[in-house]
Amino acid sequence: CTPRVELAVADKPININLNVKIEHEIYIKVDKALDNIINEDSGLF
Amino acid sequence: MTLSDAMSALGTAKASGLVGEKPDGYLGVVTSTPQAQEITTLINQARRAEYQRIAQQNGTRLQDVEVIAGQKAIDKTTAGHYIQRNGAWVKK
Amino acid sequence: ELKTQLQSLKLQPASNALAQTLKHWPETLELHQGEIGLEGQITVPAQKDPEASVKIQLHNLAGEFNRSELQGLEAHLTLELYRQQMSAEIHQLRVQHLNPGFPLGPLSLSGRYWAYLDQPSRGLVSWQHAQLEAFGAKIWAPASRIDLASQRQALNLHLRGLDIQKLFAAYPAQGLQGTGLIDGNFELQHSPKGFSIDKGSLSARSPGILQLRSPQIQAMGATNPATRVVTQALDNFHYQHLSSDIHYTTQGWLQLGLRLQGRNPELEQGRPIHFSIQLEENIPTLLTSLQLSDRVSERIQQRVQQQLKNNPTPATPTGD
Repeated sequence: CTPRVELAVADKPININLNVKIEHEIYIKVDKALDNIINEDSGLF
Repeated sequence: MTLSDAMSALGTAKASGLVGEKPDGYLGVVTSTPQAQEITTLINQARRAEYQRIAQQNGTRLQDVEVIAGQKAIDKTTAGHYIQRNGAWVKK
Repeated sequence: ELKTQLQSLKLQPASNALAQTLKHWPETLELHQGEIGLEGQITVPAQKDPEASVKIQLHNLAGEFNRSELQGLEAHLTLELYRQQMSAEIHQLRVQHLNPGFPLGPLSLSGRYWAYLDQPSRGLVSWQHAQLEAFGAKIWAPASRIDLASQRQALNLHLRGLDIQKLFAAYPAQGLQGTGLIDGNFELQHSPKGFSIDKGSLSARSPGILQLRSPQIQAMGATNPATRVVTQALDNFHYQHLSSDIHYTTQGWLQLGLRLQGRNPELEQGRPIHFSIQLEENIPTLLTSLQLSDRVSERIQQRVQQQLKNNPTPATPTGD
């Protein structure tokens, strides 16, 4: 996500503007690929 | 020390509290001994190579792979081993 | 004159028997469980158009439609053919569970579809009741009608009682907790370019709490001090006000103009924080990533993987 933050100095509320673009790569495949290495027999974890 | 030495020593290093898992997906030194340093460096090199491969294969950013790996590694850490939370080493 | 009587047809599991029998059976609909009762007659008078009136009872059907599992399909409808026209009176149709990657249902409908036989997909839809439950909310379209032959269609939808916690539970990111019920209204439009929403708004019914502690949000805070206050605030945000307008583009981008006002009691002694967040998310990509995960059946995962191989970009709303 590419947040662009402007902190407006105000005595009372902090005003925060945010632009959040959720790039939904198909990270489920990453999830599965990591499951294959994050276990005892990979020797790395 | 070779990578395979580091891999075989990893289990005992974790059990004896020398090293622990960090949220960024890499191993961290808990008690600094030369052996702990070497294991951590070798293991992290191998992990980075794996993360890069996975990031390339799926067209995702390396740090996204690292963040997810870190969270998984911490989830899977057995009780009593060290994990890093907000910069501090704690026993799970 | 040919008259035939029809009787009930029991579906054997894992055989898509019905698909082979009916010609324009939607290719992505597979039914492998349940019972279909047919009762009625078809008459083919000499030199005149065929006429038919068939009562159909669907009981406890299960299968997949498109990229969604469906279970507990019950329906009671009457199909009629006369003078080159067809009409389907849906007395009652109910689907207990749908799973396009997140849990939906029940869906319930009653209404009517009418079309000329030579343009079956450009007919007139009218309904008395159309409701779907999702994330604890009721979403419904007040009784109305839609002409599928016209260029544009619009559907007024109301949403009451969406539970933030249930929404977060279905969302593929860890570390999101929240309380609060959301109500909203929006107009879903459809044109040859696809589905879109231009007019829509939602708001939380009463104050609640948001605890957004996903690794991605934390990573955002860690890298840049300016955003640290954001991640600290959202770590335990007690909101008084949450509202948003709703836009959805034909490319699948959901755009929310969120106004979120509240405080984190532990941040600067609970100093009020007013967020205005422009949130954008691609829904087809979100659905595709859900459908590739183990939140859906193997069958749906394979279907999605197959479609992805044929066309690597995830299906846009008009795709499939």
